[in-house]
Amino acid sequence: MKYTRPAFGDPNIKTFYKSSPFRAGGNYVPIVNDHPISIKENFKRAAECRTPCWVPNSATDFNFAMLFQISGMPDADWTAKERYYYTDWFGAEWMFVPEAGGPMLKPNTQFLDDITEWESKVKFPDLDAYDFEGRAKKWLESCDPEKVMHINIGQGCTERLVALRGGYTDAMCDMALEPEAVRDFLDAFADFEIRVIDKICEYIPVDYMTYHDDWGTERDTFFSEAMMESMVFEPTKRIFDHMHKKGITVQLHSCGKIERFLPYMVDMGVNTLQIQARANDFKACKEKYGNKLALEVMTMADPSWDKEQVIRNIRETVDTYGKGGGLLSSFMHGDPEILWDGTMELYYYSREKYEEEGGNQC
Amino acid sequence: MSKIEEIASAVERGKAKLVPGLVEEALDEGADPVEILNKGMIDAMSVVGEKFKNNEIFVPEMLVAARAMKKGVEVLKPNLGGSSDVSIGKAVIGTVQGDLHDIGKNLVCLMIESAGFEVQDLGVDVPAEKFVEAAADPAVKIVGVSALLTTTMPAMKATVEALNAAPNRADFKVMVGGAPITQAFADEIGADAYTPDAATAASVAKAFVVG
Repeated sequence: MKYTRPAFGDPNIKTFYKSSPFRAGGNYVPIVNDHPISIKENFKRAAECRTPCWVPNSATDFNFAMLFQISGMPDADWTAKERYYYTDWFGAEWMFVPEAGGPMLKPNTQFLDDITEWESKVKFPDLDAYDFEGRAKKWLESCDPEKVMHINIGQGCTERLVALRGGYTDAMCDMALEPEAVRDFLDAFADFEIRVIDKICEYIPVDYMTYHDDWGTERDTFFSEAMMESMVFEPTKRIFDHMHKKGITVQLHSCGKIERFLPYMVDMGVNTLQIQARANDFKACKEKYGNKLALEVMTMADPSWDKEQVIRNIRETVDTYGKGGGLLSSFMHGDPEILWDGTMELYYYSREKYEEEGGNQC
Repeated sequence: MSKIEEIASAVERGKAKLVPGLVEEALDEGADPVEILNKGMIDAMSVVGEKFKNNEIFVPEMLVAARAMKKGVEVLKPNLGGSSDVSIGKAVIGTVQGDLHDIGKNLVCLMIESAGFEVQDLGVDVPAEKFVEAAADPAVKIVGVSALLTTTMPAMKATVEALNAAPNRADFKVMVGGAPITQAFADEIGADAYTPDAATAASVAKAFVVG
């Protein structure tokens, strides 16, 4: 062990309070203070599958905001304890479900009952009606400019189609029966997303954006490659291309078993993937696409684990997925001491590993 | 190609606009309505289910096929002399309390209906008592219980326990499914079957009833 891990409570190490937009409360995270290169440069290397100096930890290395925080668009109150309804900025109705930890489309509602009528019925939100400037200013006050500016822009193409059509069932039938109307709608949606990206970038120097589009079930993708090629991939690529033009690193979040689409993700210019470990073979992803797609692998500790188990899990994650870069991670924990030790271990253990690998000029 | 083969082909390809007309033509030509249902539709949907299980088609193709069959059945129904004569039994299906996911449940409803069952869709966020109440109908042969969240697995357990305590429990089978559900969990909570997808659910349900 080359680097001694600072002990819990070391007075030379400051902490900061990390809250989550998704949950009430947060915890005090230690601030590592001996970075050999800038946090942003290190992130860039890891996301581009080059060898970084340490594994970027989103809890310590990123400033993070959801689109609703910086736009004021209606969204769920993620800390709510009771069910309630709200209407999103397109007009789709949602129910926040505390048991599920998130919002779901309000059952038996459908904003758009015929996809072929989208042009006359869907009103894309007027972005000038939202106070991006004021909200961005307020959010930036809470940011550390040295850290990666990470914005989650939320719903992507198919998720927006599903939201307007009242659920997956009708949206998927549309994709099978009305491909031209779906494609036209998704092209218009991509134009809207590009306007959203421009609006955000007017006020925030964004480094990293996460785009959500759930493409899979537990066993396979919802859709065939041919269906995605004809309707979804091209508009999605246009959105990603625009992010790249702005110098933004692109993260795709997609639930379900989506390995079938990995080659397309490479072609679309995805930099990092936030996908489900439960549904996908991460080791195979690393082996096959490790030099093209970075993986976000959460080192989420089981609450019952003791410190040794947590440390072991972090080391295994770095050993298994970190080689040559391409690994982004995160560590949070309810116990302040375990949070401290885990944060230190992720940083220092990965530094030791990358120094062993060499060639990374740290 | 015979008219019934044409119907089967249209159902498999999800041609909901074509199927009703083809069914009418088949009836006009004197085809047996029960044969149209069994060979032109239920068998076609078995093919669709197999293709889905083999990853030859995906969820949208399966959905539109099931909807195409439904359109055909609407035309066929008045000629079948009452649905009870052709239905192989009644299935009640819902997503457990606290869970609003419906895609898996909807697919199972469509595929089980396509296998010849009369289906009562209980919807989402269904309390255990509502499952038990629906299962009290003597015609019910299958109770399908869906959950997509790990957080609603306890609600599935409670639902299956309530169904297992029903006085007419011997009259129906309890089937469970959903993303976090496994065979081990199904065994633990006392369900009769776990199936990983809608097509398998339809074939297992059918096997329970017709052997």
